Amino acid sequence: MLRYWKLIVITAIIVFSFGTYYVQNALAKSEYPEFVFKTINGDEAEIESLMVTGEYGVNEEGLSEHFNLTSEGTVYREERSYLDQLFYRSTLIERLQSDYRSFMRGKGESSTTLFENNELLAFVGPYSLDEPDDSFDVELLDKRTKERTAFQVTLPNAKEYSFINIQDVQVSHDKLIVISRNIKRGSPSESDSEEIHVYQIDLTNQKINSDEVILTSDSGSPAEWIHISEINSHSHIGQENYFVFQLGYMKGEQYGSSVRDRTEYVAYHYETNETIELDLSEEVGADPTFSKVYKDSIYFFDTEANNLQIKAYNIRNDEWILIELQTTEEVHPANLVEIKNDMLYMANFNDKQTNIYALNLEMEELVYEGKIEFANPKDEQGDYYLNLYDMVIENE
Amino acid sequence: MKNYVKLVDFELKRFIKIYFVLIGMTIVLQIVGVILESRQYLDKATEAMYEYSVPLMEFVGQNGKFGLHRVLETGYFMIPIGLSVAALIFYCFFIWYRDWFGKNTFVYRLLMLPTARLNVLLAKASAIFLMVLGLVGIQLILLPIESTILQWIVPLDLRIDMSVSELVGQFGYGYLGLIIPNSFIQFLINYGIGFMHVFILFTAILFERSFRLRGIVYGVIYYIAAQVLFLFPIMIEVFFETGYLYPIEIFILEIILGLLVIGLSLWISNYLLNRKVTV
Repeated sequence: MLRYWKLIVITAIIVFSFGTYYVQNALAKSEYPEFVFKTINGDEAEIESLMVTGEYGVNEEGLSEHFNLTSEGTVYREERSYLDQLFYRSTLIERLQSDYRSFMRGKGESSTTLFENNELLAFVGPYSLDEPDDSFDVELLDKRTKERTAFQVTLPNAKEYSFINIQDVQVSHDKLIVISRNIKRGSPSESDSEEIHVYQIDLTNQKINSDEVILTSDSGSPAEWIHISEINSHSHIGQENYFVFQLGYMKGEQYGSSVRDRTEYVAYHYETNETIELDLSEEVGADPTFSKVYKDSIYFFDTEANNLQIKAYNIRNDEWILIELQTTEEVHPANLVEIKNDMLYMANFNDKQTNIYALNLEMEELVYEGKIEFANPKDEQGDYYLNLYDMVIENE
Repeated sequence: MKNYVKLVDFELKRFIKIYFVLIGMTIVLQIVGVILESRQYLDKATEAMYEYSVPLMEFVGQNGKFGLHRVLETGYFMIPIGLSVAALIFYCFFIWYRDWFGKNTFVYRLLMLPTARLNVLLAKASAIFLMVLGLVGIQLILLPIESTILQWIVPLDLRIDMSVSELVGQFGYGYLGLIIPNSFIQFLINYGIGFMHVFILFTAILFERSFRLRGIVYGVIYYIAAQVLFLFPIMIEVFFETGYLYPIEIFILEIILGLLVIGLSLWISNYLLNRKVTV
């Protein structure tokens, strides 16, 4: 035995060092603090399906980690299995890939290219189109019969665009509507411009029926350009009534420095194929306000003035509703909002404190008020920060 | 089995002197580095605080706290690790060629041993694996020791104490995370790929030893072909962007292909050793 000492010593070092290291790693409990939802008013059951995603960090140590928080507790990313971390997908894509494994194959992980209702799942892709591609792949899955229909449609004038990005897909009756953001190549003397297109695809004869430019970043004057942003949530793949854009009129050069002059809103109505210009400046002012679209309304959230105020504009009826809410805790400047089944969930936060609200939109009533707290108050020390960036209402 | 163990031990013996030099150099340079870098930081802190009356908080704000992660980025760590890596890669070739070009064509005796010739190759591969893992193992033991030395020199207010997994995890995008992954699965992936390359390389070397000049071409072709076979699913994804396979499926496919490439290399090596190799 002794003549093999080299072999034995080296093997012992390897087994000891790696063994200790990986056993320690496996046994190590997360050093990051546990957070909980603390109820202030209302029933905790209201936020059972809510999941908030964020990052916790300590400035001076340079440490930070991402976590998911639900009413069941905090799960840090490092606590998930390694393969889970390696093959991370959003909750939505994970559900679709497990329920429709074969259909979702080769369809990427972008939610803007998908549409889902009770009867069908539709895909239009690829998410972004480069030259020399000039067609969309369309595929539909009938949820009941499991029947799949796939075809390609060639885009008219595709050569004029250097880049096409899908923003939303909707299916209504025998029509599939695609909203996309197209980069139009400018002539040598002018710069590129952005266009918002609405493609209507006829599902019966599998062709593009119409291609309309509903918005353009080109304001017609060289001193001004329009910054177009979408208000509808990109992660929402269900039925929508309106797709709303926020237009920022910018003075100055598009690819240089420019200053926002005024803000306008434009809504596209899927059912009637109408583009409606909305004049909301009186109620929401010239600066962009955090907003969400749900059913027929745009919800504007104003938490600057230290009280929680929601202004809802109903596009169909051209009506304003003001929801003013009495909160126990101080209101913070940043917001995350999700709306589902007439319930509005809101995380209202600064870099340390977070309020959680659940609001019944029909009753215009706050049904839950709470906050995110350290499960162990001792953990709340030092120069920490909490940064929330995503909110999901999970399916019951 | 006994023959194989004897052969592994024999292969270790032939490199052990250089191996000890590598280990010694790593230990000495790293510990010296920790001491010098800590002292330097401390001198700077003392100077700032006593001569220029900079408050402690302000000094920390400007210079950051000291920790082992800072020494990791210096030559005291990079040079011994880099040299060890280079030496072991070089030895992957030398472990074969010394038998042919050394004194009195040692390979003749090796191949005449009353044991399967594949054992010779397996013993050489095992020796390499043991030495690689042994060096990394020593690094793993060394890190907490270095951390303690640093704590002796730098006072609590001026330092960040980090466990090995924090060192690797937070700064894991660097070289340390590659050789000491935080997850055991990633450890298996990294070293699995590494050892697969050793087997491919050994087969290529045996091609050269079997067919000499012509063998170099065969060897290079085999090396590239094995890489292509291994990376096939990933290359299809990169070039055609089909996205047809889910990432987890590609992962499983890669494990199967990796094992296949190792098996193929061993099978070809066995054939070459038994039928084609010339002394």
